Amino acid sequence: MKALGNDLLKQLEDLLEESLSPIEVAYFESVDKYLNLRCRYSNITQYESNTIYNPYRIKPILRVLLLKSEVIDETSISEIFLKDKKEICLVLEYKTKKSFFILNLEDAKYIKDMKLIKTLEKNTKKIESIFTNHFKNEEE
Amino acid sequence: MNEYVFPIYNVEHLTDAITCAVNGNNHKIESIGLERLNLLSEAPLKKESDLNIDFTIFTKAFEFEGKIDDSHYDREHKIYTYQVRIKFSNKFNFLKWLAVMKGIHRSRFKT
Repeated sequence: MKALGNDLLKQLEDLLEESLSPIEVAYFESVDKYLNLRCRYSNITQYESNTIYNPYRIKPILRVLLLKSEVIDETSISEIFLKDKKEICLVLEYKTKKSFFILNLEDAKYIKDMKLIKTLEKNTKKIESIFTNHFKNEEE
Repeated sequence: MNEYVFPIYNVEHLTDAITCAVNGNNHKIESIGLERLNLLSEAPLKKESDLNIDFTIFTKAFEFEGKIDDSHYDREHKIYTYQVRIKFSNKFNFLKWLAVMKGIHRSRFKT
C-alpha cells in the first residue's frame, strides 16, 4: 500500500518536472448525483482518504465548480477565494463519474504558477490515468 | 453551458418557509439548487423574458435574475414546471445563498 502510494507520487512529481517535492495531492470521486465526494487518496493534511465530503466543504473544488457554473462572475469568485489560493483543483472527468485532483501549491519552488497550470491542463488525461491505474493495481 | 453543475434539492416539504415572486407574481417552488430553481405555475410564462425573482427561505431574502431553461406541462394537474437558471450580480447576496445550500446539503447528508 505504501509502496503504491510512493509510486503514485513519484509519477506525479515526474510529470510536473519535480516542481513540487515533496508533492502534496488529493484525489476525489463523486459517489452520487448530489456531488458527495469520496477522497480516494490524500497526503494533504486536511483531507482524509476514504472520507466522504460534500462539494461545498472543499474550497478548491467549490471554486472550480463555481467557475464552471457561471452563477456569479469570475471577479467575485476570485474575491471570495482570495485567501485560499494555495491549493488548485483540476477537473479530471466530468461526465458520468466526476473526479477532481487537488494540488497543494504552498511549497511550489521552481515553476511559476502559470507554467505549472499549463502543464497540469496539458496532462489532465495522464493524471487521470495515473490515479485510475493506481487504484486498479491496489484492488488487484 | 448546457448542463448544471451543482445538485438540486427538493423543497416541497418547506412550502411554508419559502416564498417566491417572479416578476411580481407568486409561485410555488418544487426544488432549488445553487444555480437553478424549479418553479410551478398555473399560467404559462414567457420563455424569452428575463425573470426578476424575489425569494425568501426561512427569514432570508434574496433577489436574483433568472432565465427559463426548460419547461414541462402536467396535463393531469394543469400545472407548468419551469426550470430556471439563476445568476447573481451581488457577491454578498450570493454568499448568503451559498450558505443556504450548504445548510440544506448538510441537513440531508451529514457530510
